[in-house]
Parts: sequence; structure tokens; C-alpha cells
Amino acid sequence: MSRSLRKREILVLVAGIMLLQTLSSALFKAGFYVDLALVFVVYASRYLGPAESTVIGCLFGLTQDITGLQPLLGLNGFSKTAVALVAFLLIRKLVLSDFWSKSLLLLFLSIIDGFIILLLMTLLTSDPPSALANSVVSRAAMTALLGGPLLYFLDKIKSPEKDFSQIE
Amino acid sequence: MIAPLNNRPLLCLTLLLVANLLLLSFQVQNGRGKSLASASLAIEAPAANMLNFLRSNAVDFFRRYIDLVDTETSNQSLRLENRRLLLEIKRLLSLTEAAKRIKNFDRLASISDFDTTTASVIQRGPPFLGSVMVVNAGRNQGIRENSAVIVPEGVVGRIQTSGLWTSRVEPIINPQAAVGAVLGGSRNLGVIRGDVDGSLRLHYIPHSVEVAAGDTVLTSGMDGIYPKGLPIGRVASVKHGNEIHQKIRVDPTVDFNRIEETLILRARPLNDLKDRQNGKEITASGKTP
Repeated sequence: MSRSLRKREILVLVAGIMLLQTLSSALFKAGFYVDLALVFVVYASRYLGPAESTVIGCLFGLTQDITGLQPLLGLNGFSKTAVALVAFLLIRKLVLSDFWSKSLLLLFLSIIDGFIILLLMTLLTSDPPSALANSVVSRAAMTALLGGPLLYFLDKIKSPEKDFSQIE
Repeated sequence: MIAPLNNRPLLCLTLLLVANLLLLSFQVQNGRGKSLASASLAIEAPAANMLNFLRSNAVDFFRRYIDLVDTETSNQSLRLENRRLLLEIKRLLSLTEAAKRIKNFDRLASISDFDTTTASVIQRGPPFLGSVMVVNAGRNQGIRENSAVIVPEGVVGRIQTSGLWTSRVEPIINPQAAVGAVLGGSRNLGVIRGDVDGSLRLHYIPHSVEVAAGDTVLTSGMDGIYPKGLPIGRVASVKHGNEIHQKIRVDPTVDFNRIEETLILRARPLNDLKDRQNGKEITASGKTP
């Protein structure tokens, strides 16, 4: 399916989203919310083509919808599909060699993701939760802070000698 | 299979976005899509149950590990004995607490005109998504949508979606939720709604009604979901603005961060209720002997 990301690895990532997203609910009380699906979408976008990235984005988003107690099925499916293509394009344009740059990329993508979901909720429901709007930036910051290092280590495990800057 | 589409990424993107939009529209239109929500709960249930099991065991494991480290550092038999006794006391205290909780649940079950099912909370949603919870009881245990969920301290919420083995609970602090309420003192009727800060708002109480901080707010039984007289919360503050009604903030009696077990109310069959009104004894299973 891909140049260097096998189906087995994709299944592992889906299972990872299901398990970790469900497990992270224990941290919500402490104010933590890391968008693991977004981190994995960015990770997968590095190794896949543009169409494959969008399909994986959609798959990961729907998985997050199912396990993350989202109010509507398809919210993250929609947003992650769009974000996956943006991630695919950005990864090939930017130099992302350390985890700070990866964190910045995640911050940017997470904010886009949050606003897409907010827009959808506003369009589809008569009374969108205002708490969701208030949490967009804080969630993006948390995802960037914790997701950046995670992305960095995933990348090191996958290809120890390469980094984002060496993509053709 | 998808690789050939890499030359036409926009086509792929458009198709996926439209598919997701159709999925969303299906759920929003006329409240359909309950079956979708139910199916997603069924998919999620094994993962949630497994993680709940793993989490509880992990906590036990770390507690034991910490106990072991303490024991090694003390290195004295008397301290070992002390430690064992302390652990025993803790275990007994937790047993006592559990017994009290179960006693409270039994009391609630006995005074209610409903059959009840106890269920544990196995997953919680984040506050910005309304703090929804998942409990480990579903249609197989007779749980239906709009069943009231309570704890001895008061009202928790209602069953929003019921899957086969698990159900999603919409707590009353969710901004989308509403509960028919009555003020404990004046008996004025109003509607309780959740607020984004985790508190509650009591709506539709006119300025002529005297409301003071500390007044109790109970369910009115008018909404067809919650039985009458269950505690919801206490009035925290009252503001008289320029609007027709008072602005009343209510603190819930239930600590939503600490809910572990819940009681789900299921309406009894009509014949059982008639028997109860006629004074016949009803067994725990809801049947007359």
C-alpha cells in the first residue's frame, strides 16, 4: 500500500489510537488532552502518497470518533481527512529536523483541526458547545507539547538516520 | 489499491469529505443515527472494558510495588508487621466504605418505583465535550435510552445511547441537558440546564419568588425522565438582572469527578405499579409473591 509504511504498521497505529485515546480519558480530569490521532496522521503522512494520506487521515479520524466519545460520528473523520493532506504538503515543504519544529507543525495542524470541528458543530447543531471553542488552543498546545516528542521518537524508530528534512 | 489515486489527490479528498459529510448529515437529520451511535458503542466497549480492567490492575500493581519498596527500606520486622496491619486496616476501611455504598444503593432501590441496575463508570469524556460517561450496562441488562441515572447523592443524568453491553450517559452538567426542577422551599417549577463551568443554571424562576443561597433544588418529575424529589443541587448564587427571570446558579450535589458506581432506573411494568399501589408486597425482582 505504501512505500515504507506497511499495512501491519497502520493497524498497529489504529489500535494505538483506540487504546491510548480511551486510556487518556483518565487524564482529562487533570486537563490533559493529546490528539493522538493527529500525531499519527502526521507520522503516516510522511511515508504515504497524498491520496493514501487522506484515506489514512479519514480512517484514524473515524477511529477517534468511535473511541473518543465524540458527539457525532464523522467529525474527526472529516477534519483529519483535510488535515492529512495539509500535513502531507507541509512535511514536504518544511525542514522539520528536531522535535520543536515538529511541535510547531502539530500546533498549527491541531488548530486547523479544532476550527474545522468547531465549524462543523456550528453548522450541524443548533447549540454548539462553547467549551469546545474555548478548548481549541489549549488542546493544540497540549498536543504540540506532548505530540512533538512522540512524533520525533516514532520517526527515529522508523528511520533512525533520516528525518523530515530528507524527504524528496 | 489506493496508490493509483495518488496522482489525483483532490478527487480522493473530495470523495472522503463528502462521505463524512453524508455520515454527519445522516446523524443530524431528525435525530436519526441512533443505530450508528449504538454500533460505535459496541465497537468501543471491548476496548473500554479491557482498559478499565488494565487500569485497575495497574493501580494495584503500583500500590504493591510501592509497598514493597517501603518494606525493603524499613528492614525491620516490627515495621513489617506494622505495615501489614496498616494494609489490613485500609482493606477493611475500603470494605466498610463499599458496604455503606451498597447499603445506600439498596435504600435508593427500595424507595423507588423503578427496577434498578447498578453500573460502573468505565470511561469518561473530556469536559469540553460535555463530560459524557460510559457505563458497563446496556440493552442486554434492560437499559433503554432516557433511563435516569442516579447515585445516593442525587441525579447524575440520563442514558443517551444504549449499546448491547455499555451505555452512554449524558450528565446533567452537560450544556445540552435539561431537567425539570422544583425549588425545595417555594416549590416553584423551573428547568435546570448544565453550564460550561460544570455548574448548573436554574431557569424560568420569576423575580417575585424569593430564592436564597443554600436552597435545595429537586427534580419535579415533569420531564418524564427523572422521578420526582431527587436532589439535584443547592442554590449557589442569585442575580436579579434586567431579564424576565432570575439568574440562579446551582452547585450539583453530585461530584461528577468521583462517580464510580451508578444506579440506573428502569420503569417497572404497569401491572407491578398497580400491585404496588394496591398495597401488595413486591419482591426484589419486581414480582408479587
